Amino acid sequence: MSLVKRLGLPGTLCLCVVVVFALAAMLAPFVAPYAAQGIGTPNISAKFQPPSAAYWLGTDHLGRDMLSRVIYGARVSMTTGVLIVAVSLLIGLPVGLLAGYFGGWADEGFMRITDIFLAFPALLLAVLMAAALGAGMLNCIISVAVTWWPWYARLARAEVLVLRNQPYVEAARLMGVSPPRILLRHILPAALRPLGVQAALDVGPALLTASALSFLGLGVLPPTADWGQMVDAGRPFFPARWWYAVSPGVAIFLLALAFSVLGDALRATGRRDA
Amino acid sequence: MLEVRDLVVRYRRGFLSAPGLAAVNSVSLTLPLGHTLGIVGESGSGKSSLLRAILRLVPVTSGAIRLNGQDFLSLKGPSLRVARHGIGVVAQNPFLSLSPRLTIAEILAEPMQAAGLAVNHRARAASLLAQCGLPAEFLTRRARELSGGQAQRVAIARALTLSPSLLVLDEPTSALDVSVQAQILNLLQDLKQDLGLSMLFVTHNLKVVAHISDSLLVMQRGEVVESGPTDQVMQAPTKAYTQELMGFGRHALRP
Repeated sequence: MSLVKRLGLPGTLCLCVVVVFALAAMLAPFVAPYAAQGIGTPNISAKFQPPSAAYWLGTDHLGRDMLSRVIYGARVSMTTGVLIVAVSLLIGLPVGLLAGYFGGWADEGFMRITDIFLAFPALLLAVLMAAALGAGMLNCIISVAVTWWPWYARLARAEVLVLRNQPYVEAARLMGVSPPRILLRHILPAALRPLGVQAALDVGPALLTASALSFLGLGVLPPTADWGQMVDAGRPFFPARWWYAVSPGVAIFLLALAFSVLGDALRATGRRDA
Repeated sequence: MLEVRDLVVRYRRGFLSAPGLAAVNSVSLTLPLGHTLGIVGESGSGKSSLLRAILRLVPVTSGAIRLNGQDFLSLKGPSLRVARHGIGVVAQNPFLSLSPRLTIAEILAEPMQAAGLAVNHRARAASLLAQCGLPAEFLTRRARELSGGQAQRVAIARALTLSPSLLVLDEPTSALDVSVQAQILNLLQDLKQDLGLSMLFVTHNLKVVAHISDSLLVMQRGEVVESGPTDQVMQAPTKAYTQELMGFGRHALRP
């Protein structure tokens, strides 16, 4: 079956967008027109140039090429988005599996802990965490992941509650298969698909939250390029020098949208297969 | 070999609500070695609850279960897992009870791995399939590629993997069409004779079980209404309910 048929036209387009951003991020030194400026070298003589043939997206207050900055920013944004989701899955999935499969006190204990985390507004908790840990990419990832893992724990638990009563899981139990084996061999593979779809859907919002932290000065620090922090830096010059804030803003918008639509498309294929 | 005394299963409803009706109310039964006991009843009669309680899938409210002289209800964790190796279970719908993700070889190897059996898994799986009338080519297939009868044969082969002394069958033919039902029943009959298995056969269809059982137990609303040797129950049913059950199928659509 062709890709377009499986994901639909919007899904395929968004997959292309994600792939283009990912390639740009990975190959930044080769595709950025001014790689040195992308990393942060100032170029004062050319500051606040509007978009032109030489600087496609204009230059910032230090004269650095916006396109190169946005391309280097993709590195940070993509890795933070993906890592936030990965770390959240890594914590939430085992917690949800254990709580759902064993039930009883394990379930009560774990779920009340997730309730505590879910009782706070996620962004507020992330801001508090980031402020306490200090700025930096790793701290930013930790802060957001801490507020996110309970969602995955809940989702994994709900999946397990359905799966553990499936006759084939029951059959494994009746054959005397040990609980860890049942979890790894029967329940985990079946739960991975819906969780994977949710993870793909969540990379967009994760990246948005990370950008928000950077915008507030709690994420990645200059001179490293980061979209949220670039929007913040461009804000005082808006709207006269609109390209400064708009270029990274549009990049955030495009990538977050692409991940969401892609996740939706994946979910639809899952439903069709089932 | 299996002895059940005054078994009561009562499902808890809510925390504060009154305790529900007993799904199984004080049922006793004895299954001697090599015998087959048929448990018959309409849906809702408690036969499945009884079976699930015997298999330790639902909590027992009171009563005792002894398996090979061992107090089966007191077993926990690893010792329960070991005791379960001695019971083979065949469920109603093979497509639900066989994992959709594994090949037949993997499905048959699973009990051997669980029991730590030191044999060639593939060879043993192939001989089990042969015993259940399937060629070894099926080892590489998945359950969804099989017909209902073939899949149920695989489920029976899996139940026999660890050479259990007790085979528990929960409506093993209800999901199959009539001609296949007869084949599966014949297979079970052969296995019973060849392996000297004790069998617990639960069904709503009295005719299916009459073929294969040595004795019968008729259940209604959680209680045993009639029990005894198959011939006696079939030829001279004392209760109207049993007669009604026998009538099913003969003229299925009655006004």
